[in-house]
Amino acid sequence: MSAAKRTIPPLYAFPSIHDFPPFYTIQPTLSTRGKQLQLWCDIILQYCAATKTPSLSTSTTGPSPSSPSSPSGSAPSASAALFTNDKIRRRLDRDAITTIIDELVKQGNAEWDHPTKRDSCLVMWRKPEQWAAAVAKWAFETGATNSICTMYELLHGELTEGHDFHGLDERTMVKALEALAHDGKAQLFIGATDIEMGVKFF
Amino acid sequence: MARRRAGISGLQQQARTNQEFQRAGEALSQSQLEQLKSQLAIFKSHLEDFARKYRKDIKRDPKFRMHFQRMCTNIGVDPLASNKGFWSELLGVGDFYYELGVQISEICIATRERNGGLIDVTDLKRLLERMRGKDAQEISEDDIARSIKTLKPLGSGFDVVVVGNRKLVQSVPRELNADFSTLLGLAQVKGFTTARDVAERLGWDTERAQRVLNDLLKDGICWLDVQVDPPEYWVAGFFKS
Repeated sequence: MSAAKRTIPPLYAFPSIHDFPPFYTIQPTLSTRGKQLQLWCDIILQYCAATKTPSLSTSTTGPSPSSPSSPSGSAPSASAALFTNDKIRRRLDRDAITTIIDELVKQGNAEWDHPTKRDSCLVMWRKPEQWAAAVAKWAFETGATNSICTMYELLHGELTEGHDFHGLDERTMVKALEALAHDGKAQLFIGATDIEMGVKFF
Repeated sequence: MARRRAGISGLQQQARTNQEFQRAGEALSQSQLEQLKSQLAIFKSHLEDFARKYRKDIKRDPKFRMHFQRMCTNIGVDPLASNKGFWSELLGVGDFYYELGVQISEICIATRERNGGLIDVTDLKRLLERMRGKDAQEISEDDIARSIKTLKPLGSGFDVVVVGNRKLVQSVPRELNADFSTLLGLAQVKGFTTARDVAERLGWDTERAQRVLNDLLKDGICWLDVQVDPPEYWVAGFFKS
């Protein structure tokens, strides 16, 4: 009598369009292309949110270009998972991936690491303003206002465990905090590195 | 037995019915004609009793509903003819098909950019069931077809189109010309076709094949796949979503 084999379900299930072969060719018909790009953007954001992937590469093979948001080189495997489909033997080529990420950037959900050499990008499945609101809410609810928090505490501290932004990548959090500062809801204290940045909530 | 309809066509129909009765009357004797009329009236009142008694089943069971509809058609009663009146009040049938029609429109509009306004009925049914939820009245393909019939006069292009083994719902005003239908018929087996396939199977020259495929592409019905040779033209409406 053997124990049933437990398989871990994937964090994200791709919608059926991901198995549609033409989905991997940028469509010539404008209205169809518009729909195609929108679907790709939706899938990217859902996948990145589910797997907490903060960055993507335009290459689905080879080593990840070193990027500030992905020093451990996790970018290619996410790109490979998203943009290739071995089951139907199709993949998005580099140009297609670039076109799609340009669309994400236009939407405000991504940023190229290098605007001219578009190899990799930061993906923000929620926009900085939305993260800013979440952090501000936490600060208010836990009475963290008027005391200084470090970035490290915000991202990895005990007090933020269980909150959506716990474990968020630094680059996105910096943007969120900058948005708060811009609105006069916080003051930032620059440290030697991002992780040492301090923030005081009002 | 002619069906009663509103408007000018209804009056014309009424005139025709009277003419038919007159002609029938000339063939039958007066007493036979009286018998026929009263028999039909009895059928109608039995049908009303039946509908009253089995109202819940008509609402709940799509197969039963379809058989009931057929009975009505045979006797010359149309539960969908008017939204007011005995039938729709008793069965709420008018509302059911109206609601379904609205849901069908919503789904077709939402998927139009993806499939060029052509969606497989089985796909539509699945999306409808998802939209309506587990506790909603069960629907059948027959219900969908009837609902679309009521949408047709609204002029937004709703129609059921048969292509090979598949039934599609079209939701844009489009003349599905013979060439389109033929190519769709070819594509419905594997979900796609190629210019070479078209030329070989239909005997068209490649120019004509390519032209029609380009039209299908431009209309949003087909998506192009260039990662194979020859390039494949996939009908989005045939792909299970």
